[in-house]
Amino acid sequence: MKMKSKAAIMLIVLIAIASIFSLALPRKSNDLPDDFIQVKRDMDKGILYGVCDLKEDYWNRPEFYPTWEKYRSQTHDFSRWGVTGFGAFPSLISYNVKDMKAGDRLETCTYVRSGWNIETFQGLHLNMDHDQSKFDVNIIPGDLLLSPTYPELIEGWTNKVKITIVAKEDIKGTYNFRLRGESPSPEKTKEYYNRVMNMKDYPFYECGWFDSKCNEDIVELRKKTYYNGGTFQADKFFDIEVIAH
Amino acid sequence: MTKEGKKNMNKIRTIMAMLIVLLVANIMTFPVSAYDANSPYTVTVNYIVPNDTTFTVTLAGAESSIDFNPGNRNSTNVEPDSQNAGGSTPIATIVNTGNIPQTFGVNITSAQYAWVAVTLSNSNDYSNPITLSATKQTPTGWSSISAAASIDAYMKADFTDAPGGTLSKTMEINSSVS
Repeated sequence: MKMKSKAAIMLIVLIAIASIFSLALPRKSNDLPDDFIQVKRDMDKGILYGVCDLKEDYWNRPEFYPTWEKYRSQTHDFSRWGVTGFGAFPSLISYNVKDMKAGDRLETCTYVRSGWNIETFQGLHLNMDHDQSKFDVNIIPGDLLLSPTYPELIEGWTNKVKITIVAKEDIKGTYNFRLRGESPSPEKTKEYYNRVMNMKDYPFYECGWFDSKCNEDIVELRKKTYYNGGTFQADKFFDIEVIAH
Repeated sequence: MTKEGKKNMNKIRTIMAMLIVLLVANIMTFPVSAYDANSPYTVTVNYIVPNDTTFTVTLAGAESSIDFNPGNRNSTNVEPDSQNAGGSTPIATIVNTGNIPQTFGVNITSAQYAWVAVTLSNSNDYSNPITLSATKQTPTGWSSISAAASIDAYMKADFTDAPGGTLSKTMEINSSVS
């Protein structure tokens, strides 16, 4: 009888410990595609030439991004919170084009995601700095609502962004295109804000029983936060280089 | 030919006619391609840089902006809400969550008000401060930040005959590859 009680107590303690860890760590996705490691290998080496052809099963996984393993096991500092941050992977693609004439197009992609440990929803408008006299550029999607990456990765934390460059005239020389993350328009901001405020049942952090450092009032104030992105931004986000012969 | 055979033949003719119409419509609808058989347009990937340029900005407490609340119109050394330099709690930390070293800079997007001076330092003793302006500056300690490393922003403001009400400026923190 005593043995059974001890076993039961041990089981309860183990479940409690597991619960604490499951709250402290972001979710790790399972069921990776069979050739995920090979695709990631080529992506990390910069030899995955069909960047736009990647299926969602690959780019919508945290393991696809080179820094995930480092961050997923970090201890969370509850005295602070991740308010904003984003970036792109890959950060630069260079193309050689030959005999690009008016109407010819070039399509490329990158994957724009929230920084790790971000607890807010971030609105972002994507814009491209480029030579407008020679090229038209179309970015899809042009606006993003990036979801949090903490305490869990919420659908929308990463997005495939497709960029189409169309020549306006015959092209020779080297041209640079620089993606920028800016604040969305007032209309889009309102739309995103309302979308976040009307969200239900998405995961957010709750103070655990043994979490003496966690302040429930502060945690409550952090929920359902929409942040207009673009005020903090990286000069180096996503660049395209076109070398035209 | 049987009646059934004629019916089938008519069906085939109808389908053929529709296909021809569709083909002509396609040719007319699509823009004329710039393709030239003598000098065809070709695209090849030169190289891909598999760098991740992501960063994360954390703020103290539950702040989602940096707010200074001076006690009067001529307050000095005012810390933003939730910052506690004495307790080594900066208002903001910037974490390089990418995989390449980055250098961070800071500026406000328009000229600072004449009645306030905001200084920023990487240290809680406010050593080597910069005064925020519309010109991008890199504070001491913010250069060549390696992946997973972080920098701090300790801020304070001096007010001189400040007007009443809430006024704001947009602050940009920029990163560039070191």
